[in-house]
Amino acid sequence: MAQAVPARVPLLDRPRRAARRRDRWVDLGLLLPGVGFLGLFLVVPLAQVFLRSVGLAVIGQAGRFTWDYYRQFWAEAQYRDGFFFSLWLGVASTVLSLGIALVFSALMQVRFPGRLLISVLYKIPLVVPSLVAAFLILSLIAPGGILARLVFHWGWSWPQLVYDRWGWGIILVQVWHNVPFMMVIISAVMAGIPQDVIDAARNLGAPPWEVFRRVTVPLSMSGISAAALLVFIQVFGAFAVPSLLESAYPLALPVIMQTEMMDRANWALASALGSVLTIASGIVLVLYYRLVPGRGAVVR
Amino acid sequence: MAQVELRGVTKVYGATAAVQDVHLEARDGEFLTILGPSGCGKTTTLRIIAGLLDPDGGEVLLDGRPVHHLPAHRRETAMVFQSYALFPHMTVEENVAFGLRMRRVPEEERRVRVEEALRMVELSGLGGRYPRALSGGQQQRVAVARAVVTRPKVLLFDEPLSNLDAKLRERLRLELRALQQRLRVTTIYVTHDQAEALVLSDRIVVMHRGRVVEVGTPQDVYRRPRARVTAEFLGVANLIPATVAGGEGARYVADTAIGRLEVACADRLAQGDAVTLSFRPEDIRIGPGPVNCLSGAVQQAAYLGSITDYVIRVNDVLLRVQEPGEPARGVGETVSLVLPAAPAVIREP
Repeated sequence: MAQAVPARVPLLDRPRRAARRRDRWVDLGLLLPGVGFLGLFLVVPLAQVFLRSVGLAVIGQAGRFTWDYYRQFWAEAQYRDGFFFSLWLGVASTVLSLGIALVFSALMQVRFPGRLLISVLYKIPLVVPSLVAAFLILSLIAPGGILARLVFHWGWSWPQLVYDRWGWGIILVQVWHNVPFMMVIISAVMAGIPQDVIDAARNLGAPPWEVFRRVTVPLSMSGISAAALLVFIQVFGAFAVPSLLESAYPLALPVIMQTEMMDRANWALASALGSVLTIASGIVLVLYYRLVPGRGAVVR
Repeated sequence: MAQVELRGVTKVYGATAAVQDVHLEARDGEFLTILGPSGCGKTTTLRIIAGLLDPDGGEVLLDGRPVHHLPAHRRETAMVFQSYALFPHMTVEENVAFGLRMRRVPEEERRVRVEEALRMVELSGLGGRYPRALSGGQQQRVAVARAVVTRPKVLLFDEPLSNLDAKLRERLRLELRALQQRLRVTTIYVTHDQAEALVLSDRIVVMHRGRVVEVGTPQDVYRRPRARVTAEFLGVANLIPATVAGGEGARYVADTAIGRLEVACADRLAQGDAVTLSFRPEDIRIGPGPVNCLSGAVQQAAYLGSITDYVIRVNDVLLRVQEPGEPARGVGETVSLVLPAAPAVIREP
């Protein structure tokens, strides 16, 4: 009798095992569209860029592993300065955009006549391509632009805001373009803060500025950090606007990449510069996940 | 301690008046409850007192001084919200200290007062926790501590117990009453729960459709309601339309659909006056009696633990009658009823 039980188990298990195997294939089949897409359009190109940056998989050349292109990036001032210039553009645009977006997002939580109209109007820059935005700002603030001519009429001189060392024109375009983008994210998070919590702060003696500083902003951190991250990464890797509005030196790193790739056919160096941009963005992303715990859990 | 007074306060949303010409007064150290069904304007009234809403008309006075023009942060009121409205990104201690921080109370004093407030609501040792790590009852206590720590002139409660289970609600309402009596702070409490209002209040303000319909002690509004909505809203009432048929002094005779009844009433009534008589179910006795004795058939008998709730048909009128203990009458049984000779007499147009 004792042996009869184990003898029957494999008979019962066989269909169960077959079903489990079938389920596994179904699971893999279901995962394939997502994982396959990521693999094909993200992992493969990134791997290829990295391999090229270390001397492997370069088209038309025999492969030889080397860190030379990374050394070249760090050794030559034009590349290093390009990196820091891109970093500066990213940080300055993000900080300025965030400051403006925060104030306006908070104001948009207040009911006032014309609020609906303003809530539609402020989103217009979202649908304007960044190159068009660059031309708009250029026509406004360039040395021969509308504002320059206007102040010249009164005998004043117009400051150098485009083609300048600090890229203020680029930053201005990025801020113009990204403030509404940030506002969309931050306003949505702010709108989710329960009115009772705001009222409680007011009732406990907090004037509007303190309510904003101690309640609204901390409770909007999930949106603020996400918006800041997205804007930073987008500006840090921006090509079109810097190529149109930057000075002769320093050049933003993506512009240098383009020159190396298209004008000098130096794919390996361009790939190394691209990898540096990607790694730097990745570090920012990791810092975001480390520094913003819960990302919004507090509101719930 | 302070006196709060509302004079003709009105708040309108579009074409709807949420609060209309409200006059009320909370005396020094009094526990005043605003009672009414959802949408009657009680929370709107409370928020107007707190400065969280601006009235469209009328005046709000604190200690005789108009305050309706002051923003919320400059009024000396503290409110406990229905949702507790704790700051989720702050610890319990930081929540309680928030009001003191806004008043620039020195850190050492702040610490002492926060500890004292937490001890008062029996939450000592939980100061380092975040609100999400607390139960509903504990969160409610934090909200109370956060309000009382600022030593406000007026404490405002907006249905603070409505999110809690029945047992906890019962316990906390007694604790709230004890706390208020200890602090002797003028308190305005909003609720739709009549039991809460009766247990907690020195006086009750009954609101209906944005207006104050009655103000009185719990005994007044329960035993001697002057408005039909008060009788209906506070517990169960058998409301019977009647016409005064005669009488003199404080004793009258009234004709009703269940027969002619003797009615004792301190107010002067005239023959032909239309009134509504309000009988509480626990005041009606099943059994024979010398006056106001009627006969009816039991339609329903519901056992509620400590009492049995009967529905008894007298002529075509259904009366609710409550007796202590288990059901002693069966459905369909014919019983004698004695209605009290001193019902509440409601005179309304």
